[in-house]
Amino acid sequence: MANTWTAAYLDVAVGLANKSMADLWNPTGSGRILKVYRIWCLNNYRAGAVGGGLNIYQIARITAKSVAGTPVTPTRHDTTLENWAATSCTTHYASTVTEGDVLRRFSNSSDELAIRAVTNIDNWSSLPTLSIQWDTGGYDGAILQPIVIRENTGIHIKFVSGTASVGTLTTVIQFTSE
Amino acid sequence: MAETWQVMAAGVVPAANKSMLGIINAAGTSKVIRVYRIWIMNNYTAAAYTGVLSNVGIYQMTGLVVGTGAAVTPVKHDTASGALDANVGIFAGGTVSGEGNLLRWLAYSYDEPAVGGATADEFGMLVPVALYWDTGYADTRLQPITLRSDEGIHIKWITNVTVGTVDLMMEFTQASS
Repeated sequence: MANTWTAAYLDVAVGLANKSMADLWNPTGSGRILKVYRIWCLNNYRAGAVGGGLNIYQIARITAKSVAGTPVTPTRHDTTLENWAATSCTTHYASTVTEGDVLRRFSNSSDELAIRAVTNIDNWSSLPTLSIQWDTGGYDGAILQPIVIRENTGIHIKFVSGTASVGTLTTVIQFTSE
Repeated sequence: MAETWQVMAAGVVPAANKSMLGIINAAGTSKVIRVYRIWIMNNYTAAAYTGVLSNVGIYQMTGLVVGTGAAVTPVKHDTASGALDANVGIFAGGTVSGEGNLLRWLAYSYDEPAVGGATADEFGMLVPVALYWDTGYADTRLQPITLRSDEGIHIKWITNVTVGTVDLMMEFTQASS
């Protein structure tokens, strides 16, 4: 079974159009192939009323990462396997990247969550079951390819636009390195 | 594992009996195309419009050309995969011929979603909920939609409404047999 990782980009501020909210980059010479199986993008905003809006995001390939943003360290599922630094791959948010092909668009709400609230899109956007934006790889064995990231490529989740540039997004990417 | 592709037609405006997104594996092909999943996403975030509860059908067909629509370029899941067969055409708003059997009939709550909303319109924003076809994906006992030579499928908007937009996505594989 391949070395499996979870990278969590917690509470990244929404706001700038075309902001890279989470990236996964495989540099030249890593000797690794990364395979992305699942991506969750969650509205976990809890810090009071924010007047959020509906936002559009996209999952896209990237062909370069010219300026690395804030680093995130993925967690390996098995501590006996190699650590993240050994892979030479990198994960950041708010990087400057060159975007390639777009794989998927999705939307969510960035309005604040509320306890005991009427169930609505603001709260639905916080539920992992409903906020899994990419889920390819198949449950019953290997049917469809995951997103395969070879050397000198990567992927990112980009904030495209929104009706209110407030709130945050939590992105979780589940992938393997082989 | 077969070569896997992702298709996304963003911001498609509906119309009565419009082919919103279709894929044809035209004559001359050397490949078999298998469609595993289809989504219709209510990703509209612009000004409010007068929504209409709409019917949408997923149909088999035997011909599709671009007509007054637009070609949609699919994206490989693995950049090392080979090219899509040149006889595979994917179009949004294309012209269909030989429409055949209906595979699925849907009622779609077509109205703009709203922050704080809790209606079917907002459900349409959620990827797991907006999945309208997934046969053969999680259950290998079932065949996906298999497209051989001169076979295709398209997602047809039935109801007469011409405001707003939806995003349509399709996931398929290409194999030699």
